[in-house]
Amino acid sequence: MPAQWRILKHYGTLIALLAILAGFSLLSPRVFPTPANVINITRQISLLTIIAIGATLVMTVGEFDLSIGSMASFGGVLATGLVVRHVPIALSLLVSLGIAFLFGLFNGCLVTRFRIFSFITTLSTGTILSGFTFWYTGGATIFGGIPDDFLWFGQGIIGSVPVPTVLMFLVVGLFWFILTYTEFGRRLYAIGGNPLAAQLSGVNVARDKTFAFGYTALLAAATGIILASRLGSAHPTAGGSLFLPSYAAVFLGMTTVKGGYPNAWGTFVGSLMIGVIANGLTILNVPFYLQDIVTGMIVVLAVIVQSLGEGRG
Amino acid sequence: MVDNLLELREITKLFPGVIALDKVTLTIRRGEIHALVGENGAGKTTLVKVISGAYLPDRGTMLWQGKPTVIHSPIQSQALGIFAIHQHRNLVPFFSGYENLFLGRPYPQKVRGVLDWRKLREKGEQAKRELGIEVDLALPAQELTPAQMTLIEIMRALLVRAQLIILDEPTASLSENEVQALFTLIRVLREKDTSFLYVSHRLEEIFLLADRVTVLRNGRLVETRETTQTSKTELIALMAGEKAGHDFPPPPPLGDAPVILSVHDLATMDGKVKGVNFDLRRGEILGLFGLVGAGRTELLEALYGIRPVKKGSVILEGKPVTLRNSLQAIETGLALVPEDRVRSGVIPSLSVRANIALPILERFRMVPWFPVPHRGREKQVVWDMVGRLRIKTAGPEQRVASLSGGNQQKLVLAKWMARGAKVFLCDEPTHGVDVHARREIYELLYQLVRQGAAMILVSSDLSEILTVSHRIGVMVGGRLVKIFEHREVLAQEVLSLCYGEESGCVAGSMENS
Repeated sequence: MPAQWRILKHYGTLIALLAILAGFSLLSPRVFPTPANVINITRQISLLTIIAIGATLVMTVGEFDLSIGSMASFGGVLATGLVVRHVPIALSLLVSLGIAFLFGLFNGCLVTRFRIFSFITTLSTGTILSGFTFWYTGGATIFGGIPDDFLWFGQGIIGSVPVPTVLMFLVVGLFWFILTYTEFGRRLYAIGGNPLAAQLSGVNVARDKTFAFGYTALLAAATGIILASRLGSAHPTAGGSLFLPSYAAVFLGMTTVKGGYPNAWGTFVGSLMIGVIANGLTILNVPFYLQDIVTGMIVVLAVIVQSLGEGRG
Repeated sequence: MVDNLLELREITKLFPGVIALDKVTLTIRRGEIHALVGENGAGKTTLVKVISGAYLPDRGTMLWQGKPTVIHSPIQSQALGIFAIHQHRNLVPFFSGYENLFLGRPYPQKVRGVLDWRKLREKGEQAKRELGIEVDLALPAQELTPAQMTLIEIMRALLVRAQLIILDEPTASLSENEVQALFTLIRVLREKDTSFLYVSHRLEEIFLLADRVTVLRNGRLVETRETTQTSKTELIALMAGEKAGHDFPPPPPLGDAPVILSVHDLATMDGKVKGVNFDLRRGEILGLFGLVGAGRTELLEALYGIRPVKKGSVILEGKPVTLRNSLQAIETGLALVPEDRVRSGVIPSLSVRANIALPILERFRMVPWFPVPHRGREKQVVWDMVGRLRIKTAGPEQRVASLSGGNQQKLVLAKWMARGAKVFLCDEPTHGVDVHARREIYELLYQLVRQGAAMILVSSDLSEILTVSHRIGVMVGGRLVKIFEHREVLAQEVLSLCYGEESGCVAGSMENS
């Protein structure tokens, strides 16, 4: 493979991100490259990034979780439903996140104990979960009577930085540390690389995978809660729109590292790219459907570039 | 009319570090049943793959019906009239017999693009009648017995007008009656001038069926003979050869080391291992020899807890081994060095450091209660291992995928050495490894037993087993039939034990099923 191809393969996504940033800055010099818009972008991508970090975990062990969209809706609806019924906020969060974690562990158990494809397992459990969410809300949006303190997670500002942005960087940093430096993270990468060899080397593959599913669900529910807090209302399908872009972010993130494995900062870069495109095109008044088309094409392009010379490079 | 259907002239096939076939010259006549025998790893499968177009030979020529031919792909070989039937039959499990018969060929069509089911069935039934075969072609392949699948494969071969049919261990899972039916069919086809290359390790069958027999050993053709002019004993002697000139020194002396592992009446649920008993002493290398399917790998897997066990007990240094899963096996001090390194031994996408440190991550914690390993200490231990085992790598961060086979194998050993394993279960540790790395691996095995580890060494290379083990166990049909205490045992003794008891083992497997 020629050298320029190798550069494109290893830094393609980052180069593309810089090109997009430069392009929008030229096309919209007075709005796009301003500090206010930069902060705006980080807030816009915060939810996508947090849920995508969850997707990164399951993808690290070579699995999929299709229930994260439903889980985000469920988490938002449950927490909001509790706080409007005057349950203390801390307790509401604890209950919602706790249930989400258990649900994720349940997903993991189904996948590891019964050896069902995670694709099918989580498709089914996600459908069940969304049924429960509708039942809980009666299909309606929950709004009104939400305490102001609850709205802080989505709408608050620390200094001049929005709370969701802060939460996003905390989550990315924490899971980057967990994946790269802890025994748990190291085992997750071993499982993703070769589950059989990992098992034969003494890794409890079933247990670690199950926990990966647990954290994925936890992060999805957290995303849903921040979303409800940001909107000041909780809708039983609110999280659905985050599901596909979150995996797009993970795939884009995989293209930022040599060897193409899921990783936390890569996912952040992927999410940033999707966010920047959406933001820039909105500023340029491009119709929303074109945003989807462009985003989809960029993911396909990135994955193609990544696969070039696979096995030889 | 050319009498020779296929001629191979000085065919050589090289794999990295291995000469799989070395100037093999072989002729298959028209209307002949030609048997191919040899120990595991002698080159039979490689030869079959060269003829069927799966491998391109590195040197040598092939003549098909007298004309020089280069076969680039299995499709091309089928077009010429060569049809290979592998041990694992290539049928689509949920397709009916009719559909499988036409697999990879144009189906009969009514209109372009629309399948003509009636014609498909008629053609299938017609082929069945011509050959006098009794198979229900309406059944999907997954509901057929192995014998019926073989029959369907042979029908496929005839539908494409194959002139040479290659059968690789066709009787491996067939009952006596089924074998007879298959033989009758083969003989009928021979009368119609179809040739067969018949690969089998069941020597009786060869004398019943074949016209000529070719013996391969270590990738070389030893001899081709008329079956009427040779005997089973002679074939075994030809396969074994003179005592191979392994100049590697014997393993370190045992003295009166204590027993470290005792296995009592171990049997697996699937019947692949049947009541195995043996003791292993500290510092001992027990070589395990047997034919493919004798249950050697399965025995190691049972000990390691990854193959369900029906009965039996295993004691390691006075403590019972649970035989339930690999995690507990590792805890008790067992280590598996699996046969297929890339599939189950290493994690190719990770670094040398991550691979070696994987089972011992807890040892590098900075603080005991916080599960974060100290990179520096980890690197030091790994680098020390890399140096001691002379693993050739650019550094601890090199990805394992880019290491050579021999170095990957050393890495697997390094991993368990670092963990301090007491009993190593090595499955074909030198498989696909070049001569130099092979010697280094032997050195390593000796180093391990000198440090007090014990080892079960499964290998299909008999001369390897005879060279590096203290004792030699022979497995036949899931049983450990004999342990030769003396290292000076002759290869021929071991081989005749394997081949001699073959018929008994078939009967045994039938009782159980």
